[in-house]
Amino acid sequence: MAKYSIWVLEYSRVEQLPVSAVVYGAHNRGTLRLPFCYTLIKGPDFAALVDVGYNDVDHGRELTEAFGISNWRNAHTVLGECGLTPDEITHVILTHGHFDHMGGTDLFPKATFFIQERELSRWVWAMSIGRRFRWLLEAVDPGDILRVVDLARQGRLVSLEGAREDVLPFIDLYPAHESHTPGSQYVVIRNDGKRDSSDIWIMAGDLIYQFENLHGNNETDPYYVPVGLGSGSQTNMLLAIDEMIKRAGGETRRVIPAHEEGLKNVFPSRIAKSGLRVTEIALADGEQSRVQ
Amino acid sequence: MTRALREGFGEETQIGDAGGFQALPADPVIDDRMAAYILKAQPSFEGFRSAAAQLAGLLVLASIGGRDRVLDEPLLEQAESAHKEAEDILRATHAPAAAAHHHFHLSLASERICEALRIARQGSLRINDASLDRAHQALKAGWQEMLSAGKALPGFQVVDFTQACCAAHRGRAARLRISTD
Repeated sequence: MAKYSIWVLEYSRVEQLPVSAVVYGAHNRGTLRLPFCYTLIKGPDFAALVDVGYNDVDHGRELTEAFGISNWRNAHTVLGECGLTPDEITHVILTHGHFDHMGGTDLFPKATFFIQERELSRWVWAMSIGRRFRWLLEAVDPGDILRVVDLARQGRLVSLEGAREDVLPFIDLYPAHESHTPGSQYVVIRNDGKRDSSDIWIMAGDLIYQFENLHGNNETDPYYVPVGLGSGSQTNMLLAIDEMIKRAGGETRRVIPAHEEGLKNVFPSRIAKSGLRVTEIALADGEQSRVQ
Repeated sequence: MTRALREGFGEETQIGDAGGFQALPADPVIDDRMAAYILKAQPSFEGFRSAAAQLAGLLVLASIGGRDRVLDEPLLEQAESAHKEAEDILRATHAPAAAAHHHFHLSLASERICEALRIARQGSLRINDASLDRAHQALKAGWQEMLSAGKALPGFQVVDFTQACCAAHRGRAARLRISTD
């Protein structure tokens, strides 16, 4: 009896990303394809997103020319694959503050946004300690900070201090501070609606980029490998991975890395007309499949 | 070519590469005078960017209500200092005709950000104070000018994506750096 339908929706991609950006220390292993995605959680009373991507209007040309990001599609196109419009998104959970996860906040005018307070306050701290620390602010768009102010002034921002259970019914948020970013958080969906759930899905944000971070490509003796980029500690990233897997009852397949191209090998999916993939993680009772 | 039709959304691109942007104006020819202007103006742009980001950070703290006395933070003073240095550089930078568009937007950015800083300094920046909204509006106007300046010439980035997860470094040096060699 699944409460929610969950789809990972690709909105853009980078075709050639160094593997070392995804897997810590994986130098000289060439490049891989990295999809950019956000996750839709659809229930009977709300439609929530985990992250919102970025809006191509500000940085599209630079991102395309400098980094090879291609096939960016707006939220109407992306959500349309699941029969929704941006106006129908009621809640957004921001896993962290990088541009490709929170740059599109103004595309969802009716949503309430949830973010860890630490993600915001540590930006400010990083800005206060001098230019030599500006590495801490790379991939953070000051325009996004201004949009966060907009959300707050409109009463549409909830800044959290630590874990929050039932931020939406059967959906919990847990912090992973000082890991990929200062105030990263991940999302736990108890899809059977039980406190002691046996149907948990975890949206990991960028605490993991791909499956390899979960098992190190060692099936017989798996081990955790941090992502290649992070401003916090690798140790904290590993601890967060372990915590997520334990919350998922030890089933690594229930910990979802949205940047993982290989989700298509684990879950049903299809390529939309836009050329971007729709992956169906779970289907609520009575909901129509969007990949068949 | 698929295009976004809805206001406020960026332009969709096609599968594979940057075809969606071919209709945009080409970058201007960078001759010696333009190169000299870009090199001189970059620190100014960066200073305005820092000042705007720092003030935006203060406004976030004030807006989420987690800080009663945000003006006690050292950030406002740092932002004012960054703006002052950037403004001095800009005033001392001669813009050739081909850079007039960029210089125009950067000058407006300076004015708007200066206004936002002035409002912030004079107001309380408390969560229910009108100064917060006024500073925010002025800063947004300044940031819009920064975006316009960033698009007017190569070499002026409003966001540093160097360490972003997308940083494949494809063609980056060629487009974004001006060499004096």
